Order: sequence, then C-alpha cells, then structure tokens
Amino acid sequence: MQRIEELRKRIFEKREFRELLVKDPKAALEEVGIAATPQNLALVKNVIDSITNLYSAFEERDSFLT
Amino acid sequence: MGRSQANPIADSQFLGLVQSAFERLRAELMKSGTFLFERVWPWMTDLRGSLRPEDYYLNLRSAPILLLPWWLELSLTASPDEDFQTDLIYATINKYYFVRLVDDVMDGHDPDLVILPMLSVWAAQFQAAYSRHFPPDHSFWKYFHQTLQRTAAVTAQEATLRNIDLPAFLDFSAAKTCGATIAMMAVCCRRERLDVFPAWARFWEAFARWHQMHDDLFDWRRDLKGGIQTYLLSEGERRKAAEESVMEWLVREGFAWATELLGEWTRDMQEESSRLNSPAVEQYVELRATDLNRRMAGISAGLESLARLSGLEL
Repeated sequence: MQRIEELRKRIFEKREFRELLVKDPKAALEEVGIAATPQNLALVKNVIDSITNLYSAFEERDSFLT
Repeated sequence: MGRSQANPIADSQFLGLVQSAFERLRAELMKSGTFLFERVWPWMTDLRGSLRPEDYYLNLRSAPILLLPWWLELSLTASPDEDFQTDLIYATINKYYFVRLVDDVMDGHDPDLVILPMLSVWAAQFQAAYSRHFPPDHSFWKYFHQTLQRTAAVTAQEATLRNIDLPAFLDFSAAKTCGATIAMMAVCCRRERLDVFPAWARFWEAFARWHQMHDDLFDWRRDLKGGIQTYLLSEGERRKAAEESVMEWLVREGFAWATELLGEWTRDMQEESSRLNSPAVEQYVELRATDLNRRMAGISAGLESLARLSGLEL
C-alpha cells in the first residue's frame, strides 16, 4: 500500500507526474515501483480523466474576485 | 431587462455603462503619462488574462461588486440613473485596484512596485465619484467612513491570523469585503430607500462568506504552497490524524466537509436573495449554485478515482 500512497502523493504534488501518467502510464507506474500489468494500465486509463479533471479544478487562477 | 447574449449575468444597458466607466478610467490613467500608463494598464489587463479589464468583473465567478448596486436600483425603479450608476462603477473599479494592489503586496505576490504611487490616485477617484452625488454633510459619508475603517481593521487583523476557526473566518476573512456595500448604501441614499439596505447588506454578508469559502476550496493548493492561512487549511490542521498531511485529510474528509458547509451557505444565500425583490439577484445565485454543483461533482469523481487506485495490483 505504501507504493499506492506514493502514487497518490505524486499525483497530488507534481503536475509533471500527472502529465506523465497521461502520456506514458507505464513509465509513471514503474517510477513508483508499481508493475505496469495490463490490469494496472487498464485501471489507470480508466481513472486518469477524472483525476485530471480533479486537478484542473484547482489549477492556477486569479482568485481575488473569482 | 434581458441579459446580453455575450454575458449571462449582465444586461446590455449595464454593459454599456461598464464600458463607459472603463473608458474614463483609461483616459484618466493616460493623464498620468505614458510611462505609468504602460506599467499600470498591463497589470490591470493581466488580472484575468483578458484584453479588456472589464471582462474580469463580469465573469460569472467574479463577486458581483459592479452588478449589485445596479440590481438594487432596478429593484426600486424601472429607470435607473445611468450617470449615477456609471459613477458607482467608476468608484468601485478605482477602489478595487487600490485594494487589489495592497493585497498583492501584503500576500507577497510580488506586484510591479513601480505602480504603487497610483494608490493615491485610485483612492482620490473613488471618493471623488461619490462626492459628485453627496454633499459633505450627507449621512452617506458616515457609512462610507465607518465601512472603510472596518475594512482596514479586519484586513489588517486577518493578515496576522495563524489559525482561522469559524468565528475568525466570519469576523475577518469573510468580512474584509464589506466595502462592497458602500455602493449599495449610495443607491439607497440616492433613492431615499434606506429601509431596503439591511436586506441587501445581509445578502452581501451571506454571499461574502460563501464566496470566501469557495476561494478557500478552489485555491487550497496555491494557499498551501504559499503558506497562506485559510479556514479550510486551518480546519485541516485541527482535524487531520497525527501522521496525516493536510492534503491527505482533504481527500479523506476535507472536501466532503467543505462541500457540506458550502451547501448550507448556498441555501442561506438563496434565502437572503429571495428577500430582495430582485429576480436578477435570484437568477445570479441560482447560476452560481449550479456552477458550484457542477464543479463539486467533478471533484467527487476525481476523488473516487483516487480511491480506486487502491485496486492496483502490487
């Protein structure tokens, strides 16, 4: 589970990692020590859009009035 | 009064007044000379990456600081005084740039310090716009000065807070925008309808706390990174487990907590808007509530996806 926590942490903290997860999920999973099995890649592919949308809600924006 | 096709919240008559006020602002700024104009105008336009500074104020997600005095007057008469409203818009945008620059400096956002001398110009223009309509002995000025003093006091106190709980959030974070009520008081004085002011002030109070919490939620990453204390992040510090980070608390329960609170405050805002005799304000509140619900649904789906990562094979 530590590796999954590490994966979540990197997703949270690093935009570059989220981009890598979209472009090259195999490399992203292997970077945190999670095997890029077909099942794992399918799961990541399945959730990546909503994770990306989650972060787009919090991307840089001017927030004084908005 | 129909909404403009280009803008879901502002009607075409109002958009014309806003444009006129910004033309005046630009003309006045040009009087300060080319050097200052070339530094200040880009700062204004960069606030939202727009070529037209007025777009910043008329976005659905912006606080309706220009629109509320207009909607207030429309609730009292079918024929608002256009010159008066243009002056209110002009006063408010001058005050906004004043407040915004001070805030940028206080928050360490590193604005172009060369434009700081504009502060005295904006402060003078703000007051001068009201002086055209209210003689020095008018009771409006008492509210004007009291509100500016309150704004200064709560803004200064908020900047020193290191841990924000609900009372501090309500007394300082949400209260620092009370200056927006000055233009509403001006409409009530002008129309001699001080009786309606308390309801509009209560609406603003409900809106301001909702809006500030909305900011706390959608800016949590920038606030956390920048070391800016907010009610949401302070609550995270108080509620997180010993080994948990604030970020992990947000995923585990913080977003749900903030969603529930925003839902409760949306209902308060809807209730207050229903007492204003203003279909425009009610419609605006519904648009904001719908927009929030849509964004929160996206966040919930993202959080569920993060949880589903537990299903990865190790």
